[in-house]
Amino acid sequence: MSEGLVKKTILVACGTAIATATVVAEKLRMGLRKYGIDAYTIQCKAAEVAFHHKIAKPDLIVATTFVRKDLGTPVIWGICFLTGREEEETLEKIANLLKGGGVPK
Amino acid sequence: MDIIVLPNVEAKTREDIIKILGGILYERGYVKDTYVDATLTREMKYPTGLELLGSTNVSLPHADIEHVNEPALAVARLDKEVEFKKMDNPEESIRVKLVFMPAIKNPKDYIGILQKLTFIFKDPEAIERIKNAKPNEVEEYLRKKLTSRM
Repeated sequence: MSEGLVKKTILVACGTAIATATVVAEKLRMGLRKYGIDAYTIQCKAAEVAFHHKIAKPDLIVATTFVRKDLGTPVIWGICFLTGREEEETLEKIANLLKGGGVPK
Repeated sequence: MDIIVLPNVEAKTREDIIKILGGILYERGYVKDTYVDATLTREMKYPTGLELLGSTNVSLPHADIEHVNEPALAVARLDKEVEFKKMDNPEESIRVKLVFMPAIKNPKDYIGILQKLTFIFKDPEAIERIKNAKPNEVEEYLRKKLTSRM
């Protein structure tokens, strides 16, 4: 199934109950396949981002609420996966970033 | 899951509407007396305003499972939009017309409900329906949407 896909790890952070992150993570895993990326996602609470970042060493952080941005890994807002606003654009941005296209604005 | 839809709600602030919706959930026994305060606190720390595709914005104020007795969803259609801070940017406010307050008992249910709510949020037609249909029709519509298997 995932042969030929690039494997990447994404840390997905949300408020408190990890529900939002779980929903976003599912959309990321599905959405990134068409860009040739096999995304492994880890869901966590915003307050625990630093801890999970240290352990999982993700390629990217996707957050639906404010998280610290000083961990040396790019952070992208994942609200679009809840609202549909600029969802495809964001997916493309994430795919480019994960494939080494540099940090988007 | 029980669904309560309140049409024509008058509220001036997000605190008002959280107290109104949380108060109804409490009166009907769905949540504990700590629910409203827990929701207000959570909303300050992790705001839930979501800017949708169309002109209608929504919010999802809620508290953790320990404040809940029985699962329910309370929905308010506000007469006048109320300001909520954005989930992805607490510095910025948006005007919210529809407030969805899910009281969830089981964390796994929350994921399912949220997933189904996001389908509704992404569908301008569904949002229009929730804004304009009769309250009992909206309840029926939401019940169908939220209990359907995907």
